Amino acid sequence: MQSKIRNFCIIAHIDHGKSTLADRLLEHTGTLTQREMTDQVLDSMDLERERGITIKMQAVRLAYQAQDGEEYILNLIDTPGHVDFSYEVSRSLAACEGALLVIDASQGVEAQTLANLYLALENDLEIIPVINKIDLPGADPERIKEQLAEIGLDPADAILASAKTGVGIEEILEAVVEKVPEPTGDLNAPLQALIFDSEYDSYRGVLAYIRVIQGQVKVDDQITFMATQKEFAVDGLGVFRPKLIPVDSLKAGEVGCLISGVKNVKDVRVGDTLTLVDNPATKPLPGYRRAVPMVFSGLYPVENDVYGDLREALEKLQLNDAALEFEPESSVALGFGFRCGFLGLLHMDIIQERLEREYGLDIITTAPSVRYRVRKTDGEELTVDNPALLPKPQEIEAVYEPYVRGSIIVPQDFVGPVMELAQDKRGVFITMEYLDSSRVRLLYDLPLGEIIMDFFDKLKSRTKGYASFDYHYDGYRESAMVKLDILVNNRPVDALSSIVHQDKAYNRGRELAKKLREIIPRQLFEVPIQATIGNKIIARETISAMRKDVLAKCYGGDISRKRKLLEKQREGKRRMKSLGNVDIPQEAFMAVLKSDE
Amino acid sequence: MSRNIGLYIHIPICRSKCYYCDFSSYPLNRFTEKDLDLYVLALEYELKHLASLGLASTELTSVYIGGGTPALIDPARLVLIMESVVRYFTLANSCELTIELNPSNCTPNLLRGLQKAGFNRYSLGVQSFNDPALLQLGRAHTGEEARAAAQFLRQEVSNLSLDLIYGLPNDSLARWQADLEEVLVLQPDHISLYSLQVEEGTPLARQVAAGLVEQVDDDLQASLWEWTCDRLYPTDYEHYEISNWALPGKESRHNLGYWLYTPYYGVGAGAAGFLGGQRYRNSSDPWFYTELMRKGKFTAKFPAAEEVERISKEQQVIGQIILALRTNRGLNTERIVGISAAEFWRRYGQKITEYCAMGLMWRNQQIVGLTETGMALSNRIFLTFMP
Repeated sequence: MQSKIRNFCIIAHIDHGKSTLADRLLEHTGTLTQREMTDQVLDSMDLERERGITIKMQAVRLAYQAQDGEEYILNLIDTPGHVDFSYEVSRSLAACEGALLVIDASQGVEAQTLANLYLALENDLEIIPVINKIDLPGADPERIKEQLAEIGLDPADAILASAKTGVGIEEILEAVVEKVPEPTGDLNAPLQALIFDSEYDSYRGVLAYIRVIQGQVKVDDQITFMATQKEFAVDGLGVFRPKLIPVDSLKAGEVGCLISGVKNVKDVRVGDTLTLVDNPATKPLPGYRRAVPMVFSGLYPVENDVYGDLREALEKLQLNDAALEFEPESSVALGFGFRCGFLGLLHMDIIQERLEREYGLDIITTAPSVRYRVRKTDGEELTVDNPALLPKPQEIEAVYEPYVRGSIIVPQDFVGPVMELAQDKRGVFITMEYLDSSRVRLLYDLPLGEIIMDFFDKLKSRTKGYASFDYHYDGYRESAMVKLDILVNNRPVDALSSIVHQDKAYNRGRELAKKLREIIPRQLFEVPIQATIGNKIIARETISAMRKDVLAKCYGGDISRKRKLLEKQREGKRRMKSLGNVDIPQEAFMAVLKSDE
Repeated sequence: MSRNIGLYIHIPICRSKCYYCDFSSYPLNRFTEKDLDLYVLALEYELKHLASLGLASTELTSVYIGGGTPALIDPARLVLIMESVVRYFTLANSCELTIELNPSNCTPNLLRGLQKAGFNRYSLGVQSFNDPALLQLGRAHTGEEARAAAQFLRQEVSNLSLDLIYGLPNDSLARWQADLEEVLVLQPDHISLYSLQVEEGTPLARQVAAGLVEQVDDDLQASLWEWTCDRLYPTDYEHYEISNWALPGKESRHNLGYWLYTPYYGVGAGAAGFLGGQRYRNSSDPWFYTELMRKGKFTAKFPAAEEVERISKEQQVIGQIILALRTNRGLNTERIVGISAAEFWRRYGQKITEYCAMGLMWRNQQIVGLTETGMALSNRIFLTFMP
């Protein structure tokens, strides 16, 4: 049985055609007819499709009649493609034995191609290089093959394909059958199944996506999650083709989903190991890590009376998102809201957009912060993830901030600018190594707080998009951090406070005041903006008073039209937060995030 | 003053479309002579119908024929239109009869025809005397033609209004000063000075979107406005509405009707009216309008309307406040229909006191109004009164 199973995933640099290739594999194996295909089936959420990234993974079972006359079950496991979700990526890779490495035939090997390749190699996956988009005029497969050799892959293995025209699809499926190793788990050993994703479904509760490593699981089995120690009965098992088809059991080597009485995704943690209550495995599978939020920001409804709606929406999103955390907080400037914890900035953006799009809420997001540890002079220790709550300078003995070990893969021409950027972000250089004749991997220890600002954007702009960036959490270090406050019209706005390194505080203060001057529209009166540290004013800008806002003409007495224009204007005003007579647009609260250069 | 009842008749025909205009108009060459005759007939039908509704008095204090370029349809047709008006309506004593004119066809011949039709007030769309500015606006006449038309009318008529625009792309104070000084030399009875607004869907809006022209910044707009107010302040012209100045007694009665929340009939394609607590706007396509009207008998109250809106009590209150605040007479808080003075002050007193302190509003017992500084920021102030 296992000899007829192949578990694989597709990894690629963004835009190299991963999703289209997945579509084509489904179509070619008859898993879906062309008519059933919505484009790029695997990315099921609108948001994902729009952003061209994959957030949720799925596992699709393809039935393939190979040239040897045998029918094989190919499980295609989709992987998310962003640094915020790198842990999820690593777990879904762990569920596979092989990976298709898709490379654009004209663009060639890119930084993200390499980053993904290394991740796959760390998980001992068999790599099948696919040179995609060979139908395009700029395609240069020979050059790409040379690049493959440079990064240690055998160019002879490469398959030339076009997911668009269908060229090479059959060869890819054959290669999966021939080259990806069959799963090896012992069918009779105690059950060990890896949870590589989970999803909340309002009818069925939590669906756990699992890869059975050894043993087997059947409907009605009593199971336990080894990390959470919770026990449940198996209500159902299924495989995706791509619709959910019920099955009676999943055996070693198989991939599918499990439905139990679990109502909360937090009980089904990605990376956790599932085993049987009766005959448990002695130890869990390696590599489990709890998803910990790294980035925190306040989410506030623009209109305070929908606070309850916001809570409900967050609760619903949390059902499907184990990494999302939130607790109530309040701000003088913004009223009642929630302090939320996210895996990273993209995760934060996604949550914010889903709240606005799916729940129709107008949200103000305050600038993200990391979680600092503070030791006070009186010996008390506390954690601070809301800048407004940092104690007064005289009460602080020491502040510790989270660091990450960051790995940057970049063409060597950009090493200079990248090092400069890392230095600017208070990075500590660790090593540099050549990966091939033109590409370098740089290791830096960086404060997470600097990374969540705009590190990734800047890295991309300085390297023309050629750099890839990966990081993992690396503990706390003491840093000289201070609180930077902003006063608008002489009143402190707590939601605009941020915690910054003292060496950077002056520049940040000036930059921020200037930025706010641009973002906050002119009011009927002059508005001063000040940046302060403690009681010291370090920057001041002034928004001059508005002088003209008038509808001059009234065409032929069309008063209704005039009224509509005013109503539109009023709507715009409503979306702003009024603080002491000053209308502050939502993006002002995010301005703290970005710095100019 | 007796209660105003106005009538607006729209002639949606132009020789060419100006870049900034988003009012309904179509090129003359798309109309056959028969189209024009049928349009005039359609106006008659609509006039007759509206007069029969009994929603407002049929004694008119003002008639305003606007466009478009109404004079393009031949003075004889305008005579016919005015004959239709008096067939169903009565003209009050000293009824103001205005027609809009364009400098490109202001001939003695035309004027004789218009005088025969009974017009006693002439509103000339000069826009500018400056050739590059006219070119930029897409106007079909030169500065010299505008000058000649204005001078000619000044000699011939006793109630002349000139329209000008400022704040054009790349505008300068000097350009605007030259224009306004020329206006003052001509001594019109009434002056409308509009700051250019880029309206959605106009060629100008497309030019701006394509980056071909750059709008002037708010500060220059404001400077032009301030200079205009300062320049006209010591003259005999009274700044009686945000964009309008007039010699004493020469305010446009018709336009004042809009600000004073009095009813008006709107007739013709694209025209807007306000009758019996409802605002309506007619379909803007003149051929479609003609088709709708040609039956002569109607079941709907506003048979040509593509939009009818019943004004709610709340909207009525807001409307009265906002429109009155556009004028220099201001708002008499004791005369707002639908809200008592006490309630008004309870709701807005604090804000008005604030605006007064900021020099944006004035208050004279129960009457409040906008200062010239306040007028420039009127949209912001109006928002205060909106729910």
